[in-house]
Amino acid sequence: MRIPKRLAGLAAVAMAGALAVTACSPPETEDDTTDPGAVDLGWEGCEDNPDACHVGPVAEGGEFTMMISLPFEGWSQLRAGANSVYVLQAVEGIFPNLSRYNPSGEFVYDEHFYAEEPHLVNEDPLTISWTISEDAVWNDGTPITYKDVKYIWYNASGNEDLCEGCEPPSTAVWGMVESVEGADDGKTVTVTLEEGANNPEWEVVFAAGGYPSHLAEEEGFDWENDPAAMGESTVWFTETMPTWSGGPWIIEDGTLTERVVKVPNENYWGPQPNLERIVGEVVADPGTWIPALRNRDIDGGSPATFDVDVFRELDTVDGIHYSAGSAGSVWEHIDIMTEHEYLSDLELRRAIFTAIDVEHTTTAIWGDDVPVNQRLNHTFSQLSPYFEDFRTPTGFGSGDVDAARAILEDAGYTGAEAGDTLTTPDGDEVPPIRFRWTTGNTNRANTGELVQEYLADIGINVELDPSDDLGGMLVAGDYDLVIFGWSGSPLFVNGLTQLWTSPSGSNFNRIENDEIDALAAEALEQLSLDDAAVIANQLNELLMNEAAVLPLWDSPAFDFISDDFVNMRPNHNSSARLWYNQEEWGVLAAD
Amino acid sequence: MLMYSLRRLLAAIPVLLAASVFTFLLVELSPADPLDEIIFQIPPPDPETIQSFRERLYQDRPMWERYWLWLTGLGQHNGDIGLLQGRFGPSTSEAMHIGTEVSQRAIISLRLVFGATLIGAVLGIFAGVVSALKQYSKVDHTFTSLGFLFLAMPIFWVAALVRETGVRINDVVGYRFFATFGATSHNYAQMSFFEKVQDVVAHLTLPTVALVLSGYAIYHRYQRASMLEVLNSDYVRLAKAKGLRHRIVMRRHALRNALIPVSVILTPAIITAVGGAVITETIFRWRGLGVYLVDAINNSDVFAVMAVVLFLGIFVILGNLLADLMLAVLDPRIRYE
Repeated sequence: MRIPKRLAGLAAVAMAGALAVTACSPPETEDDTTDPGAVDLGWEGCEDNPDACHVGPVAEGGEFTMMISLPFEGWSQLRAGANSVYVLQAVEGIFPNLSRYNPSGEFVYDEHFYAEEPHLVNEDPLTISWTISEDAVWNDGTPITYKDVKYIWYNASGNEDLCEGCEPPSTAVWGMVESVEGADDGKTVTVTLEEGANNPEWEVVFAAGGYPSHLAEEEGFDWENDPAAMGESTVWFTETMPTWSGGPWIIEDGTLTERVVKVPNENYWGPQPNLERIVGEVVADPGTWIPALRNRDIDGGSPATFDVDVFRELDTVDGIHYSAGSAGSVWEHIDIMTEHEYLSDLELRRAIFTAIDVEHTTTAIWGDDVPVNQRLNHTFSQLSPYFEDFRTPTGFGSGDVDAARAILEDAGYTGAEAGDTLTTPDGDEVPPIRFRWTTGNTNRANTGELVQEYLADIGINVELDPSDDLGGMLVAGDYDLVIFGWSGSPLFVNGLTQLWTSPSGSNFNRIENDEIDALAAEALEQLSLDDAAVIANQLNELLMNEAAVLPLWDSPAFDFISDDFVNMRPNHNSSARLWYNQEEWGVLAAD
Repeated sequence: MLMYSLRRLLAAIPVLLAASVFTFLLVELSPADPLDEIIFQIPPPDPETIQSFRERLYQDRPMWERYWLWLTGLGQHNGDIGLLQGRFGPSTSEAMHIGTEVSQRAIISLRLVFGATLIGAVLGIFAGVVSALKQYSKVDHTFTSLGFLFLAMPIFWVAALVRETGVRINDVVGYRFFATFGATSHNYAQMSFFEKVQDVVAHLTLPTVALVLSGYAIYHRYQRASMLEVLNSDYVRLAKAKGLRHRIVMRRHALRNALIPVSVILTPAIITAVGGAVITETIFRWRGLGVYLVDAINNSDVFAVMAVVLFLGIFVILGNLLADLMLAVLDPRIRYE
């Protein structure tokens, strides 16, 4: 199975909304661990101790070659056209460490970057402030200041008066900012939102480290005063390989779509990385992954796509360890077009979702050796602290044909039997339903065939109809049933509005529910994620009862690395995945 | 011959135009949308951003106008399109410039193609001559069987087998003789001359072997047939009857003439090898034209696809012309008026 690049890119989600936010906590070397003698090789220990597993004595220096599973097509994520998880992987480590989600889901700020962590100064208008460490500088010695954050704001403001020709991946966060101001030689940053604007994720999304705005100025872009120059500077950052760094790594060499070579940034103010060099090699063809690993052309990988055959083949490679897991970075679902002549009937939709056996489908597709989490909530995976199961109580995905028939009979339908044709209460035969998916996606094609079988049991004839153009199909609403993937992340508030509210362009199955719209708006008004999560779950319950989107499973992802290295952990809470703590990586010392 | 060449080149222009129209229609009429990449990002970009992206790729213009713009650049506003003005149009990958990419990658691809073709030709010709001289012998049967075998195997399979063999040899030897992807190592620039040669050879060997095996069969079959025909000709019999030594007959009279038809297939063979290189590059992840074409198709990058097709079209036309001219040089009986 291959997840299309755009869907894999979704894994970046809000957490990568500001690239600079992607960050790491201080490196942990043999000397500064709480237990210097700790040894926990392999990834077996990661289940119980996800943040501190795979530790061991680290030798000095060394080189690690990491696979990047699809080409990266730019050097920055400032512009939508180059925004992908692969760009993130290529440039990961050259931005200041700010904060991160650990594998356990815990959110932490980097103590080396902040002299004072982000805090609320005012609730109306929402005003956030933090102070950057005096030591925090770009590799040329220029201090990291509020102007670097201001640069991010200008780019993602969506305001032509600030940036002309900018094509930011999103303006959802920075579009609500009124001002970014500095004090204390620019080290104290104050972000003020527009009157009435709010964002419960403020602790994460606004605390950006920024871009090296002084380099834009040195290149002749008067970005602060000339919106057109600002726009042009974002193109320059996207086209030009960064030779700058504000993080633990600096790019030594690289070629777009092919390779990036990173070495430690000697002017980094935090602890230095363990390894001498990290090479990111693009190895796009899954058939090439295993030979490249066996040939030690690569030492590890954390592909954004999951290929069951490749995963199973890993077992034949000596000297590596690997694992699969998921925390909802991409999750699959079956959608019903609610404006369909027949499927607009809620009872029919409920019966369809009840007849589909998700557990059986999961086993049929992934087998027993790949751990796959059922998706039981539209927003939170089972690993989220906010998770509540809304799917099981509805009976959706249970494959309970009798229950599905009962729903239909109660609603006045007849013919809900295998070999028969379902007939509406008005006496019309339900015509064949089209099930669509992206051409070439075997897992989704197999799911379609299984759905065909399930629904035949309640008298519904399903026609399989793959599509080459998922985007066009969804936008046009050209489907009856469709399977595709959405992303999830520890950040969720903006997604509620974008995916499920009536006016949103991404509400592809045309759900119209005033209560859902109101709850999504209410979630945005909260000041804490906990409060927003409570509302999100109220929305999720309503959404499940709409029977328009059937969550299936969290798409598994897998990681593999050579046994020669330590301090590398799968992190399904970060779009950077295995890359999230690369300054901690090291060669396993011989003794 | 000069006039003939000019006529052929002029005649190539409508052929190239037709090829470009055909390619343009194929890519444009495919259902994939170059804007999908950004439309489906989460959170989604603003409609203004999507519109700006659309305008940058000229997707706001009708299809016929986009082709006209690609060809002439007349009516464009960004200064980035118009083949007649030396501009290849914008790529969906904003950071990559199509002209630069094609020129850089063409060198990488042609290095692979020419190397493989040359080795394939030498091996094929040698085996063809031996097969002809020892017709129906065990050697002939072996060479012929191998030729048919390699001819029958699809290039992607041959490449995968060669790669697997290389990995196994590395495993057994315990040293990484062969690299399975890329044209060079990441630290190539820092290497000494000897190390650079070693590195290039390590990366070049497996993809070259894959292409050689495919190309060898064609040369073998042609050379064998051509040599047999010459060996049965009157002038060879006459040379033998005159009492010339066998080696001289074979070298001066037989091989020299038998090479003429084989030399004609050299250019088509190179062109075929370019096709094979598209697949071989993908398997060995060489950053050549093949990988660029595949990536461009996957991204619905219309102008990038057009540029590669145009380059390959010109390559084919010039190659065919060269083959015709070479035939005239080698065979004095042929004259182009």
